[in-house]
Amino acid sequence: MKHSHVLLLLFVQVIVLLPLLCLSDDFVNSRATYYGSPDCKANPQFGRDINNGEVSGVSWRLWNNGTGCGACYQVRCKIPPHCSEEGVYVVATDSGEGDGTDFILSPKAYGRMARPGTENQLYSFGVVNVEYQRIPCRYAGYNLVYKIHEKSYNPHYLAILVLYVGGVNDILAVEVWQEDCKEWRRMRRVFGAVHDLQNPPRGTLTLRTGPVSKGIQLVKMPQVKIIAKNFMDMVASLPAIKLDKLYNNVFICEAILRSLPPLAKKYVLQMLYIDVPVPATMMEEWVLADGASKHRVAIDRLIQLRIFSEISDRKRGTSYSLNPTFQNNLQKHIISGGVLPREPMNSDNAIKLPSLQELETYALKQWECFLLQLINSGQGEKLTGISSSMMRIFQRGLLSQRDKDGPRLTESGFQFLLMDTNAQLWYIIREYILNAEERDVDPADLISFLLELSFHVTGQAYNLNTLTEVQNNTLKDLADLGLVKLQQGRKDSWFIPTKLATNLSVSLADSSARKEGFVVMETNFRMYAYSTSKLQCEILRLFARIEYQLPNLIACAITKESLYNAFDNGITSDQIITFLQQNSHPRCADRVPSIPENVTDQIRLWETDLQRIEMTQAHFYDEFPSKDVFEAACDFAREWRGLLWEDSKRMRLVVKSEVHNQMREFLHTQSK
Amino acid sequence: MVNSIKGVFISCDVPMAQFIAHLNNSLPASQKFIIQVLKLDTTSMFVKPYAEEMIRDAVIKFRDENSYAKAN
Repeated sequence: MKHSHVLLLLFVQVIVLLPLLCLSDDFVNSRATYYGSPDCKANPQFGRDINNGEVSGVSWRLWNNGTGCGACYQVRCKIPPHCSEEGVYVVATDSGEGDGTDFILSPKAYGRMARPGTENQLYSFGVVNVEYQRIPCRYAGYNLVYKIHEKSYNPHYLAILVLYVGGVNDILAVEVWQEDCKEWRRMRRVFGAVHDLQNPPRGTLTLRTGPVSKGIQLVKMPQVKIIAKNFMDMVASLPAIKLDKLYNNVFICEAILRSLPPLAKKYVLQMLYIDVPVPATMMEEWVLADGASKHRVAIDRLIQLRIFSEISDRKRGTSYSLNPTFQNNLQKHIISGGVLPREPMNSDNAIKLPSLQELETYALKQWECFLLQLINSGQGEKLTGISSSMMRIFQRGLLSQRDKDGPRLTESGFQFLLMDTNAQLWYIIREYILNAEERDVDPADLISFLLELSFHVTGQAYNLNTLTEVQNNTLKDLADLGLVKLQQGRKDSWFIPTKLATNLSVSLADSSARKEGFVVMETNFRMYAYSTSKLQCEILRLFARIEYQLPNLIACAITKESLYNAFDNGITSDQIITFLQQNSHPRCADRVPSIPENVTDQIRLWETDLQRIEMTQAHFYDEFPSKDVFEAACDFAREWRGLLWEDSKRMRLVVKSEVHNQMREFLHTQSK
Repeated sequence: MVNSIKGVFISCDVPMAQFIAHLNNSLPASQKFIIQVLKLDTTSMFVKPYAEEMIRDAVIKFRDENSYAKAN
């Protein structure tokens, strides 16, 4: 399950560390056993993906308090009829002490030690004498790979998990550069290969590992940008204090309850009237064996949202209890029903409510106006009341400022236009919330107001005097986006939420109102769009040539030039085809396929036409002194995934430029 | 001792390869860029580093010569 985080930019420099001293050919005698049953490939909790399931738990001696995690060993058993000479290559992923054993192998790894066909006898032994030696880990193409742990969704916490360590190296420690104190701050090793840090410095992070010694190698990691996927994830990523404050509002509790996965909802409701903490083991018994992963997901989500608090007791193990504020509010909510802080105004003659249809068109019109202004900034009059500074914030990822001509849409800008309305709305709202701090608005207040708004009834009027100052200002911005409609009577003014507002807390997966499609695509590459909207005209202009425009119809054609234009701008053929399929007219949508195949095939063909020639920077090697050197070089290149072409007869090799330096060193060592 | 040459590895289909070879032959000897033709069916070759841009531009120009756009 993809957890999400607040915007975090990570720029990492990694220094490779202390090489281990023993790399000789000496094998060490020991014993090894295996866990689980021979039928399963590896323990489901770890190791399945690493090294093809050939992993092992190692004794405390080798585990070395966690620094031994990730080390690679060659293990072979010593019973000649049953054991293969080579043995098995395993990665240490856990610690475990058996009966005088140094290794507790996964069943798959244990079986690999046997000669093919004799695995069952080896399994029947249970424990065998082995000899092992430490070997350099080879992860093709990487020196060091690590990932950011899911728990780092909390902006005041950062945890990294070191996955692969190439060569024979142990990660002793990881440190972070603190810009304000101008010093390196050591991260705490939590367990094994996980390092964490409370209150990581904001902005760009620089990490280094291990004490600096000989063999420094700098590796740059690509910049990592993590974005919240929907409203609930953003709520979950708020800091603890703010989240607790949010739970004072009954509607937020309700909204969050609705957004939980089904199992988590059940747990919350079951625990609602229980005052004592419930042991974790008891909760695990509530699910069947094959629901264990769903159980874990639910518990993690509840802890992330701080609905469950975890209490660890040495005697009784971990137990969970509901957040007391959340619990009280939900109990009240269940008994008394939801009472909004404001009542809809009485519909008397003074107030003329627009019909739902009118409201829908109003919302759509406002939204399109906003989008048009977003992409055409600088052109034409200002259509909406949103201040230019707000506009610039929204445009940040979507438009690039060029000096000569006006701002141009970036690649993400084009993709943004082709997304569906819910995704676009979420993007804009997210930028709006993230910017709240700069405008001195507490994001938690904003989120609580938006969530409250989603509980109002579409089409009913609510008086403006029930809102606070901050909420009033927000409301004006929301009116420009089309989420609410502001109206003024003689004495009062009120707002009417539209469908866009009430859909805010709904997760993006279930889209309620599908817009009606408007595009009819014909096999002669002509397209007819039954629409009057300027925005849709602009979108179509991205990849088709507009032939002419009638009062309710836009006639266009898809040509090679128009598509090449789109491809130049970074749009892919898949995006265009998905856009056409999602927006096809109801008459066409019933057909299978909704877009004629010759059109989709041709669009894809034109895209691949641009990619006919593949060019890679490379180095060409020849004049190898002997066949062995050539073979060794080939294998080396293949492991590093840099081998582009080889010719065994004339002993020539083409290798990617990225691998050239390593190749050169390798050949130096070979020639000695 | 192993000899290494720096350049660009090109992998393409046969018509494109023929086009690149034609481009190569039309240049005077000092500017020829193909270092080695690697496969017998000429779908891969090794060229000098500066040739990458030149080949790309030539291919785009060649492709544009073949298409007709209605004047608008």
